[in-house]
Amino acid sequence: MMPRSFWVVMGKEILDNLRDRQTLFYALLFGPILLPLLLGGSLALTFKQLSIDFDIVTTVPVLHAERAPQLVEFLAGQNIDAVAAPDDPVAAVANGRVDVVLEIGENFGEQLREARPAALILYLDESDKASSRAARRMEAVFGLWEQTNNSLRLQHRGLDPTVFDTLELVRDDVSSNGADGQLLASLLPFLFIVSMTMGGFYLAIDTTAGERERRSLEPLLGLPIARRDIVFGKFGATLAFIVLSVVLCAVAVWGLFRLFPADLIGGDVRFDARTVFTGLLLVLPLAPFIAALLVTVSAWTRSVKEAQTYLGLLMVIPMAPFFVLQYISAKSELVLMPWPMLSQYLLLERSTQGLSFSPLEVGLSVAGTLAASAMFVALACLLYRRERILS
Amino acid sequence: MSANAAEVSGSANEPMVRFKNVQKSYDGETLVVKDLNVDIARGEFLTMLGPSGSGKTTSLMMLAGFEPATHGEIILNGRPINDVPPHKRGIGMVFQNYALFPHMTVAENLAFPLQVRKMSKSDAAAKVKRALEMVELPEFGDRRPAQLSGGQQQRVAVARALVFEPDLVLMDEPLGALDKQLREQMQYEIKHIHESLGVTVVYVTHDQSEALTMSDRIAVFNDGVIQQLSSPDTLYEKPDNSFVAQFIGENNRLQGVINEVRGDACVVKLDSGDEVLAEQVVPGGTGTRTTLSIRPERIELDPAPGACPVTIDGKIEELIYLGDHIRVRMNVAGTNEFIVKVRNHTGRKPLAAGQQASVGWDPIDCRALDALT
Repeated sequence: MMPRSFWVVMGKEILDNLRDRQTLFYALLFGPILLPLLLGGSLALTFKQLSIDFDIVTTVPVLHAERAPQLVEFLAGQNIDAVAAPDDPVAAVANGRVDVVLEIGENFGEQLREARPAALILYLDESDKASSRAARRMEAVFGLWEQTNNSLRLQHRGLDPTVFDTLELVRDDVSSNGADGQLLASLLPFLFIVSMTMGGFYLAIDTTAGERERRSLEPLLGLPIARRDIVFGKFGATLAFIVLSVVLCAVAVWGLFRLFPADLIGGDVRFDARTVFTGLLLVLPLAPFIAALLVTVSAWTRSVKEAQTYLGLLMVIPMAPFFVLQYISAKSELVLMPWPMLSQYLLLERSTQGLSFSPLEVGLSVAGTLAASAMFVALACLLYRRERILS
Repeated sequence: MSANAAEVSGSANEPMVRFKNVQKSYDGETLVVKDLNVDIARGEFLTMLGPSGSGKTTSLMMLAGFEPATHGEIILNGRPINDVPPHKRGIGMVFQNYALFPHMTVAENLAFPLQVRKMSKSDAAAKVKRALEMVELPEFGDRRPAQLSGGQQQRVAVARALVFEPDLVLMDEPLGALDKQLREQMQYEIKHIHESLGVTVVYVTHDQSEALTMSDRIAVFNDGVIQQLSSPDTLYEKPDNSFVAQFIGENNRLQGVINEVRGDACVVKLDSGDEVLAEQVVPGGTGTRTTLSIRPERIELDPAPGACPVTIDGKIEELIYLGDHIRVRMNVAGTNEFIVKVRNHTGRKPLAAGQQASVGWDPIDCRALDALT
């Protein structure tokens, strides 16, 4: 049972920071909502832009279409209808009036008949995403047409088309997601941990370094409240903001992947309500750890500026597990479970990929994280007892 | 006044606060406060005055409990409080930069110390109302600190320090951030609040006029030592040493050697060769070097023959018109920084720079203090 003064201090800090626009923006808007939208949204959009949908009917301006009627017919069969080309294809593509222009070579028919490479020119703008994507679709279709023609030519000469294939390599990716899915799976722990850190960042700075800079720490320390209760009050307020931040983040991620379904990327990554909720439960023990870490670092610094510098460096911590896991194999091992952040990262990744984890792993993760939290809270209490806390 | 955690009923004659041989060192070698011994009576307004680094704020912080004493004892209401944490001392504090909680309203700021003390909401509201009336801000309860002027914020800070009715209030340069006019106005307000509540105030400042205006007694600090602890008039009229004479008010200094001792007075031969009679404060006999201290307003310019026991010839270097008086800078006894304040009244003699003029004073206004090194 916490003493009444703990609740009074916690209430004061929460009230103080609920009225501070900067804290509100970073804790409840930027970290949990805008960041998932920016990161997840842009990632989903990028994948969407890179992917080609061959079922969508499109048009392509073709110059001298009359020289290759069979090719034009093949293109139409692939949902690409030839239309009249502009007079100056280079200018048209450069100006962005059309994505690509196909020009059929003068001797296209003759070259085909003589079994020589038939000349085609594809005008495109590599720097333009739409042009580049249209060109990739055209090249894929040309590859198919070329493959068909090559087979026909060989058969026409009495040769088996497979005679030139010395290997038959079958590539079987046993992972459930592939590389793209793996990247997307790591997005959830990253967003959760970043939003938690952002959620407590300004509040921790304001309640300790900020209060000291404003000199409002002296009147607080002069009140009949034990310093331990002051630390716990500030810790509790930071924790409340962190929890609120990660809950909002979970809702934002769930909503985001309703708008941009993860299957666009091709991996079997889950962002359904159940997975996001499980992820939230797995990451929640990290909330007291981050709160304790922020309060401790903030108590150690002398000014808001110094606190921002050190806590700014702490902001890279959420990214650390991602890089650490690149070096120690992506397999979740028991020995990694007691480590705060690293264990949550692994568990969340696996949860998002639909992989299982044992109660022992979860237990170790919770126990290790809470033990580290307790250690940092104790350290913060020690820092608050120092004479230097007011200097 | 209500009881506080650290309060123990002390007898009426017993000092409320006692510093007993208190020392403070941050590095274990240099003492920033050296052997501090002060008794502060209940209801007294005591000011700790001194330049930066003189140890006055450190002494206040030791009393507040934010800094531990390295040696010695601090006694509050008859009970040693060295080991009592600040939150158990029941002391109100006011700081230079107001130290208000920025996102709380004025009323919330005032109610917070009461809320911590588990006071009911209705009682707290009544006390907040009374405190706001006391500092003449009854309509400002719903405003945030940022919506108030500096003077209003400081009044709120004073109200917050007094709202829980402490016996002792510490003020650390509370008017330092205000402009001159507002500072003077607040000096009177704080003084009146002190008088009406009867609370004991320990006030820290480096502004001597502030100290003179408000205090019952002033402790002048320098280099970690109290140079003099007296009432404002004694401090001004009878400084014990050159530092106090120089720090409190304006002061003319003339260097010389004691030539002859005559009871409490002495004849000093100035470095310029002139001989003058003065009150002897510095210990020592004939041959002791001394600094004579004379207040500018105690000097008469061109006195009538026989009007002043001591006269020296000088020359007017500069005249500065200040409305109620003329500030005359003169060359006297080898120093050209000798200041005389001449009251501006009808019929005063015309003065001009370059003019030869004598200066005279009563020996009782001229104190032979320790020699400046």
